[in-house]
Amino acid sequence: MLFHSFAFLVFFPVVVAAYFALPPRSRWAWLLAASYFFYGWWRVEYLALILFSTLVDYAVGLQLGKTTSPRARRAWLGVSIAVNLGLLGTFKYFNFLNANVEALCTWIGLPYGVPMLDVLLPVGISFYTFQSISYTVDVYRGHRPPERHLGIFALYVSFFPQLVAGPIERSTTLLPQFRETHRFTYDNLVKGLRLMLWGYFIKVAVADRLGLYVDTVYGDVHQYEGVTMLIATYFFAFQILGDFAGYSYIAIGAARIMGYSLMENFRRPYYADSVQQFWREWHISLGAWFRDYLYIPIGGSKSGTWRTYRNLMLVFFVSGLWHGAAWTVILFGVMQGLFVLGEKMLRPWTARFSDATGLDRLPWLHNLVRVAVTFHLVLITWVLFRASSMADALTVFRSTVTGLFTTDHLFVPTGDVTAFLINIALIAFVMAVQYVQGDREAGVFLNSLTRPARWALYLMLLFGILAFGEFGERAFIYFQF
Amino acid sequence: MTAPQTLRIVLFAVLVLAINAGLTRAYFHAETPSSWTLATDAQLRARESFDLEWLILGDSHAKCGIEPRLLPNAFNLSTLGSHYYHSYYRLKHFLEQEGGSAAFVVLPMDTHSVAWQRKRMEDGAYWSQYIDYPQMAWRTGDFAGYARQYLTDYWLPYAGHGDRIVEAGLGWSDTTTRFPLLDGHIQMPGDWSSTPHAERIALTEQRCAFIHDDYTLPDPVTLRYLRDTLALCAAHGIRVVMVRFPLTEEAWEVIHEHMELDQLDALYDELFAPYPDLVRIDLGHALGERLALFNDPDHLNEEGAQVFTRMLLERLDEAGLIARGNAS
Repeated sequence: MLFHSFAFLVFFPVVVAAYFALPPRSRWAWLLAASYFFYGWWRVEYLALILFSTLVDYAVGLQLGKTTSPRARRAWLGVSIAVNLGLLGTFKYFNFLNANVEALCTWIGLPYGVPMLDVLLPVGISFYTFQSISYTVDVYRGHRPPERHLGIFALYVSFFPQLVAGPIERSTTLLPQFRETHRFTYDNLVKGLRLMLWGYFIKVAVADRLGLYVDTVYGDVHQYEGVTMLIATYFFAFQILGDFAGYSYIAIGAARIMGYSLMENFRRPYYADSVQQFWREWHISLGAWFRDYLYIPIGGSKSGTWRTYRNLMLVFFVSGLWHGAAWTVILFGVMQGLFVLGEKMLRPWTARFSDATGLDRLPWLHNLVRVAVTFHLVLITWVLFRASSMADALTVFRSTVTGLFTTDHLFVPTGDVTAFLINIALIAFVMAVQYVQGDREAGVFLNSLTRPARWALYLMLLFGILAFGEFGERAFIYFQF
Repeated sequence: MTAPQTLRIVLFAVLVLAINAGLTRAYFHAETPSSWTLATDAQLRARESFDLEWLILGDSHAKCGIEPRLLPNAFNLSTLGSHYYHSYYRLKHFLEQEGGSAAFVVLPMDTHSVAWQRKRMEDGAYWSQYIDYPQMAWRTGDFAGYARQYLTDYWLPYAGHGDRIVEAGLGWSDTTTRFPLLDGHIQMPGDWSSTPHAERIALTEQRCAFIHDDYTLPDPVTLRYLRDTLALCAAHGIRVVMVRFPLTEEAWEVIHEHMELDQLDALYDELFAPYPDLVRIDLGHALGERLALFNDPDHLNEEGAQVFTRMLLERLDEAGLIARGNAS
């Protein structure tokens, strides 16, 4: 079920009303049923996978609680990781791997006949498997005891607000909340609704509108060039921000209304002054997951400079792989890693350059340059992320550069100038709000406004969604991960 | 919840409703100049009397095909992309809410008239004045779809159309592509004969598949609305004239590949049997070879409408429904 579908507009109030009407001890069952209904709305068959993953990790958790032998504990953890990554590997990566092996065999002249799997990628599988893995690792590390209530554990894996596109929660913070008694409060309602409103605005009125332009241009990369191509890539940068951050805000807001706190997932990544900072503000829960469950276990930054670089590259490679089973997306991750490494390695030279050019003495200009450079480095990787193939990505790069001053077809993807200008205005509005937001969380920022300013913003967002929204119920991009 | 919190919610809701009303007005103001449906209603309301002799209903075939000024005291209330259910609700409103009357109602009897085409529920803001959404939901079984449709059509007609409001507000609205609308009839300017043959055939195939809903017809809900329309006319003492509108022969060839016309006509026989005074006029092939009279495979152009309406007049004369001298 999509958050911006009519079905969800009916589903959510019903779930919330019944949730608070039920006695606290049975609420978990209602939320679990609602979560499975929410997930099964796409395809009921998907539920089998989530149930399987839940049962395995529940059992592993119990075994880890009983076993003291380090070897047995490692083995049980291995079972959990193997099962979850096995699910991911089968449904997400098998066909990609198979196609590449087939291409390689064809190239060297070997016979190859392994058929492709005729399965659809289950929505959100990368999110809930990671969340589930984090539980077994936390139990293995002794950060929390095993969850003995199967229903509550199942709810942890499938909690509908964050089930299909995060934030990827930790067992240490989310599981205890299912045992708390949550009361309906005006404060939670208002704070949750305002986050949902902001999320809906950047998803429906910004991301989905921009998506129309982006899809037209990236759907036929040979037809467009120069400024049109560049604009489409700029638009995609804001489309994916609105799409993914929008989902996260709606998820956090929806959970908040029911009294649950989910972790912040986005801040204002396009104001980041380095690629490393960008990743601290973009998909924060995934970055934190990789830090705690991959980067630190393989040594982090404590084993010397080159090992740190190796560890970073490994994390970014896996991050690219997590984002999709395609060479373009893997390269996306690798390039992000190289940029982060580049920043670290070039730091002495960039500092010297700032000093020599006098940029240091103009902090606002210095910051502006850093933000602009960071944004454009990220933009290069967005081309890889969005392009359908490596060939398309190369075409985008080539035709953007060779026809840089060509404005042919600029308004074709929107149909007219007005729609194009409204797209620009919406982006400017989002950036202006985030500028004022500063380093605060979106919820904290919204809370800090005076009532007239808040109400004005609410009305702008509400009617912005209604008037400029794209109501084709376009799926969230991150669902495919 | 405390009293001040409740008050805040009420105040906010009032503000939302006020802005919503303002945006709705702005939308209609922006949309009317370029909306055939809204402009047709405006022309109808500008008439001195709603007591008509001839009322033409139907979709774009009727809208472009019948020149009402050639008929006595006639108005073309057809709407683009409409269907029997639209015609039924519009006629019902005309007769029962607007106090109108008509001696004769013209309805289409085309090959695609019994298709469903849910996707045709366009111009929702216009149709929200006339359509009975609960009834539509009940009849189609699509409760969620019509609940959503009601919400957007009735309460949020401007939803997704903010660009139009901005354009109108800035004076950027482009109304230069409008064709003349006279007593509800659109004069189409095109000449289909000037389109190259290969392109004509490709477009004809596309167009035929579209209007026939990929040939998934007849649809029972559509048939039910046709029956209701006939019953409504009978209840108001209105005689019904069912007309098959001309298509190019190229279009007929495509249709014959997918449909058995005899079966369709047998269905119409059954539907019309309870109404012995109903008149059927089949002019489907009347102009098929004269491509210069068409705007596209299934719409007559301005000259075609003149020629077709005169042919229709002859047939009405033969049926004793009109004296040629009465035509204006």
